[in-house]
Amino acid sequence: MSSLSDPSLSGQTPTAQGTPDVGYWRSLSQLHGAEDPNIGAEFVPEQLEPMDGTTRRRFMQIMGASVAMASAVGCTRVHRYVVPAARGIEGRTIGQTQPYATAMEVAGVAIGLLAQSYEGRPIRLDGNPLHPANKGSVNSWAVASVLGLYDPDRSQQIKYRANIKTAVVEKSWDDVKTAFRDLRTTNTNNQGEGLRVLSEATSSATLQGLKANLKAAFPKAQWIEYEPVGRDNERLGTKMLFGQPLRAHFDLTKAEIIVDLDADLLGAHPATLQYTRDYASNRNPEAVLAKKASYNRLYSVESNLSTTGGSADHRLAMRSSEMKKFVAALAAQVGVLLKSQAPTEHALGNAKADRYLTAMAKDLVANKGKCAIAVGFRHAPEVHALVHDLNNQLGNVGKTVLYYAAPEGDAPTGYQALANLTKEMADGKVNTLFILGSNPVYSAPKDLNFAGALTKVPNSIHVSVYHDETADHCSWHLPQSHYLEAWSDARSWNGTHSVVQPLIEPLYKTRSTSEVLNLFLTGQLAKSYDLTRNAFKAAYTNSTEPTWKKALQDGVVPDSAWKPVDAKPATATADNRAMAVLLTTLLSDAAPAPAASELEAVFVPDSKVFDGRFTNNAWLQEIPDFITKLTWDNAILLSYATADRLGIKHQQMVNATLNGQTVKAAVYVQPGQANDSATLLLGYGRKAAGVVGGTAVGRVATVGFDFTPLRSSAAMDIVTGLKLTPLSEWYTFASTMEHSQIDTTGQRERDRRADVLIRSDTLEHFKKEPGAIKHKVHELPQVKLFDNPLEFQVKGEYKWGMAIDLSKCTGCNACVVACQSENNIPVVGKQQVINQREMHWLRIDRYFSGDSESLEDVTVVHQPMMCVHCENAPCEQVCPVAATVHSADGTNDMVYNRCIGTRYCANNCPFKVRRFNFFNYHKQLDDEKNNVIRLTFNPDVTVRSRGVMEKCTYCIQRIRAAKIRVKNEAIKNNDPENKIKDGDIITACQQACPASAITFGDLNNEASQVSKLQGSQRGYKMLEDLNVRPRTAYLARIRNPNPELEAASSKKEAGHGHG
Amino acid sequence: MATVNQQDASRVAPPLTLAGVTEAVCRIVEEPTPKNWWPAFGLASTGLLILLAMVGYLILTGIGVWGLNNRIGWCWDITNFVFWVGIGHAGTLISAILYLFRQNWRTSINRAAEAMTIFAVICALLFPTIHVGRVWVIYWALPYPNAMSMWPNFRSPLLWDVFAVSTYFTISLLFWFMGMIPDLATIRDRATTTTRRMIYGILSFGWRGSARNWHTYERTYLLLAALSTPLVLSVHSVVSFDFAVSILPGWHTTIFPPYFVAGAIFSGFAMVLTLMIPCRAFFNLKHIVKMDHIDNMCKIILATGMMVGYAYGIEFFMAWYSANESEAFIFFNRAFGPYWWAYWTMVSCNVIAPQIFWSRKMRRNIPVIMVACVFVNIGMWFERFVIICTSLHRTQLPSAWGMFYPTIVDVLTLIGSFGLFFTLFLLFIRFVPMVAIAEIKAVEVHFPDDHGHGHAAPAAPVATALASPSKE
Repeated sequence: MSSLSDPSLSGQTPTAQGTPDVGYWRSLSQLHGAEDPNIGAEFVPEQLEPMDGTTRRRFMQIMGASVAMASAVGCTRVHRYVVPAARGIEGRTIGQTQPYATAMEVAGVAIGLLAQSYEGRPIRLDGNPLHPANKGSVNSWAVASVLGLYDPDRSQQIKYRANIKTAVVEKSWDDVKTAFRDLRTTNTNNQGEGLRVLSEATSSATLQGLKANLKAAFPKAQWIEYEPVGRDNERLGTKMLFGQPLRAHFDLTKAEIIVDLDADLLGAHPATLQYTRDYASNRNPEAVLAKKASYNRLYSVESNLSTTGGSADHRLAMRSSEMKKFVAALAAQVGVLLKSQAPTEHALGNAKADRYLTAMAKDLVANKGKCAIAVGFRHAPEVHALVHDLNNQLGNVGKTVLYYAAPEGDAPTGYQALANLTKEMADGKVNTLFILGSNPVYSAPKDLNFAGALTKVPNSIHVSVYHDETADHCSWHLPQSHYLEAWSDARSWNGTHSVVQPLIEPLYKTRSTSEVLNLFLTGQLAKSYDLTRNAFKAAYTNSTEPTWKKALQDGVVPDSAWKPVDAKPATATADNRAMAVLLTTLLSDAAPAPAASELEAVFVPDSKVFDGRFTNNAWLQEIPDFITKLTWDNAILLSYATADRLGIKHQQMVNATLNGQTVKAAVYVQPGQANDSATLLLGYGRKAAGVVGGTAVGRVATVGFDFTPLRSSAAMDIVTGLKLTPLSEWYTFASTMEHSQIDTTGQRERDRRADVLIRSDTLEHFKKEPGAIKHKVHELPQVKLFDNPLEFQVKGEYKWGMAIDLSKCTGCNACVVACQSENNIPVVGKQQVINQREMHWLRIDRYFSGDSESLEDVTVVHQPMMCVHCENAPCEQVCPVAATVHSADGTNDMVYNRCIGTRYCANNCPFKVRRFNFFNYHKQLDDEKNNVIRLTFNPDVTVRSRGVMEKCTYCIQRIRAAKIRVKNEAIKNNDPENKIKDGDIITACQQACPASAITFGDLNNEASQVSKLQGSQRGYKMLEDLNVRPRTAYLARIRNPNPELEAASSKKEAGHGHG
Repeated sequence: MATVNQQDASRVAPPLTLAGVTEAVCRIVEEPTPKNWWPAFGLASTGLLILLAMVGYLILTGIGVWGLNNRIGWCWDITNFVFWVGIGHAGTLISAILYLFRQNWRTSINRAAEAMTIFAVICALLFPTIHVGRVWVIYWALPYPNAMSMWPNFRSPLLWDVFAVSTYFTISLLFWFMGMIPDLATIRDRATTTTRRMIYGILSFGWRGSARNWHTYERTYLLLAALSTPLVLSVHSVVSFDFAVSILPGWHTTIFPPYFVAGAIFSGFAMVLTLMIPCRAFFNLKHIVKMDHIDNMCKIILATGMMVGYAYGIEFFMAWYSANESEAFIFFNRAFGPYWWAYWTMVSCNVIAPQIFWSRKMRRNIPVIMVACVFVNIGMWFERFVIICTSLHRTQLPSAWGMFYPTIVDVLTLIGSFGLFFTLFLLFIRFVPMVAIAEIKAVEVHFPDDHGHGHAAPAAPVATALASPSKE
């Protein structure tokens, strides 16, 4: 304050004020010594002092208290390993996000991630571009895991009860330490006879090390890895053929023909991100035209329409229980063809399937060494053995199919191990049971009665991020740290090793599983950092500090991927005979497939919440499933014909009976579903998930239906004999498409339009007539009556545009969640989705094509749809307050704080991409316990209030950030020509996409990728006749059908829905 | 007196006297409140309270309390708006256009029709106001000097709407009130209590009935009539621009302005009859609001109903003739899609029901007229619903097709708007002369030398002679 009255400013010395005898004066009266009221002391200190003595004191008090509190916080917060950004960090600008490499492990397989940290809190998870498996792309689970970190329902307290009848008491980690000491003593005495650890599948070296330590300390202890959706059959199949347990991995970049037998390589495989990228990399029609590349062909045989089936060039809907027979027939057919003999006819006794089988077999044999066959984990080991043998015979091994030594080794299957464990528990042989992350009370098959067995275990310790169903039955529940809160490590499907690096100190008093185990083993509360660091030192002899830091920085340990093993059938000479025997048995199986009228149940993990571990994640709950477009629910999926036969309608409740257990659930009638096959989606019906997924404690209704009771330890994945009894009760699904059953008027028009909106062609026709796509619509001449002075002209330096390649999009939904995370898009809940008020800026439109006689044989097209940023935007013209306007570089911007909410823009939008805030969707944040959710928000994007419109902005915040960055560089380097280059701006959806189907860039730059794609033969814009001039172009979907099959089923490319 | 006029089938009316007219109209205001008025008012004001509750709930909670969604951004809200604006049009047409065309029969109903206009426009204005997401900043749609240096967007039809409807309301209010001044003065002069004299004294603006007063009055009346006349056409044309200017198939139609105006007059006349028929019976005004007048109005309903029917037909023709597939689908979908019932309700009520008025006998059958008019009111509400909802529910991309389901708040708000309307109307008939006494005297009262010809201009020395500059 005093500096303002600094005499040097007024050119006076303090004593000279008002005295005329100084060199400088400001007015005559001053010179003459009179007080001029107009001048004098312009800045009177008293007037400028806003605080009187009291408030200044108060200020000091508050400041003092703040400093004291800040240092107090600092005392507890400052740790060696995660440093809060309270002090400036060198080289970092406040307000800019900082990426840290980390990894997320789901069911024992890691995805390499870059966590974006904003001032010490992770706000978004991107793919790690340096990770060889996902190369920058992500799946929806990884993106949504940041919401999981800030989930207020996370377990925050240690709970203990002596047995199921006594009250739950809260405990501290010191209590745990004491209790563990006693447990250690007990178990040391009998060498760990009654000590069991039940863990989720994990590839972590940290945990493997601790497992070894456990084995050393307690030789008789057992460590069981169990996953509710286990992939052990793959391992058993390789063992059957190759004599050793192996893990199969595919190199789809080299595969011309991909045969997916219920494997869902592009949707539900742990290596989906890599497979999608590799699959899409061989889908460049332009490269085919230029004769620079070939185009792969994808066959799919499955019971429920999967992501892969939706993308397939040829799909056969077939009951999963018939897969054995199908694979055997395929093996026989390929065997015959390899000997250059005529193919067997009527191998399957079904004209359609036989034609499909023969055409596929011919294609495979014609592409020896350039094809890949994958079969789903839910099929029996012998089916896997046959498929591996087929790959071997076709010369694919080492080329398109690689084998690694299975990390699980010869361990019993998870299902078996769990059954054994439960039996031991029930027999009272287990004294101490650690349950690490797993939730077996919910997920274990009903016949095991895991919960009942658990009551017989005197000391059960549950370590989990959530206080779930299992926690309710254990004596101890210890809150586990989120993966973004603790150190660990994990391997991807091909073994690439990553460090799981925490981004934040644990929000609550939680510990990682490694810390808990270490506490038990050593009695020390060690840091997860040390445990992981030591594990690395043990694993890599050369793990010096620089290599460790490099691994941390890059997110991957260089060259850590496993080396493919040279897989040869165990008995090289006898293999053919052995397989022939297997073949004959399978082909002549007395009961090869159940009677046609017998319904099979296939238990499929849900695409949104997986096996139930993501049930409490609202972003994932609200993703419209890629095919059913179902949110907030699972269902029994039935085909039209089967539903008709059973007298069941869409949305009807049924009693599903299997193995003597009955579950009441709703039926979703789905095109593409195989007849007589019911798909039961797992992961729902949780009773202790949280306020999102349902909790009995919080009186939040269960979301969806729990089909676990129908599974039995004998038949976990495919079971026949399901009985469905229709009830006279109806259910309402929250599906974002086909909100109501469509009438024939609408259905006919939808078919007609889908053909124009989503243009597609066959590769053969496209090669012959590449221009046909552009001329699919009779273009209207654009007559101008006058030159509209208000018409948008590109004035800016840049002209942003987007291209979306429909040949590549599989509809995986990663973009939808990435957009939600980037743009602070609210979740609206099931009722509001039913009310058609979902807020996703990016939706994926899904249309079926095929004829109405065989609705199980539909093909699917996906079209990601968000604001296309029309140059002649109809929304802008009608807004009375000019709340939606054009930027200089041509993006259609939404000015939230100007919007009064007339919704006229949404009415006039032909693409219906505008989203209105019908309520205050952030109202939950008013509740103090939900405050933590605020940490999820991206600070670069406004959180919208009630009553305003919103829509895709082309990630305008990223565009602006890039502009500022480039401008700064231009100034720094004195290079005014410095412009934003291709790839400088990547939108959130583009970044997430594993198929690289989305391209964004500057249309003013003719050399940019997006310009080239938009100008390509396949590029077309939606609703061109309206002259709205969208900036987003779509690239037509080019299918690559087998001419042999296409001729038989030539039909028009048109949309068809269920009606 | 009233008994003389009942069910007269001829144009020969028994003579009205000056005093008789004054007595018949003023009596309604001066006599104690009729017992039957109270239940009606109770019902209407209950409706008003419901409306207030619904609007309060809406503003506190959000637009989501209605059935709207991300596919259908407008439905009942704007349907109600256009419905009420349309109702208003009959009043202006009667008071302004028929005045300029020397349709003297209008004098018996113009006051009530104008009042109906005002109240209908109040109801109408309510809906665009509350339909916005952030009603607290709705004034941003007005061109006022502001710190943001922002003009509203003059290209938006919604802005034109703001101007059109507010101008319309202002002019209609002035016109109505101005026309009422001599009658208010009559009540003042007949007042028996000081309070009444004071209130009506203030309202009559010192009217003394001098020649100077009458001269100014007639000039102003003529001017306002001339000002109102284009408004009859412009307001609903502008309202129709809300739809016609958009690019939505089903809305983007050049026929909308005349079609909407015809529809507005159609619905307005139906509403006037719906209101006036009970009033003239209840307040014994059958000798003033004559059967001839009702007959005339039925003819207008028939004529405008045919225009509306023609518009429906031409829309379908154009949808086919334009060869625009989206347009063709929208119309086909209207008639045969999920909202077919709404479309056929509209056609039945608006095109088929008025055909009964080809028969003179039916035009003079009160129950028939009442039923037909209620049908027209229902039909015209559905017309707006059909235009708005069926065009929005299936737009260009089939992925974004949806359905509108009204919520209880939607329904109660519509009911409540009728409560507001009838509350105001009941207050009007109770406290204000519901028939223009001075004008009736000028055109309808039969002087001895008039040979029983009620429409002769010379017999109306005050009103018509002064009002008409043209040669008779």
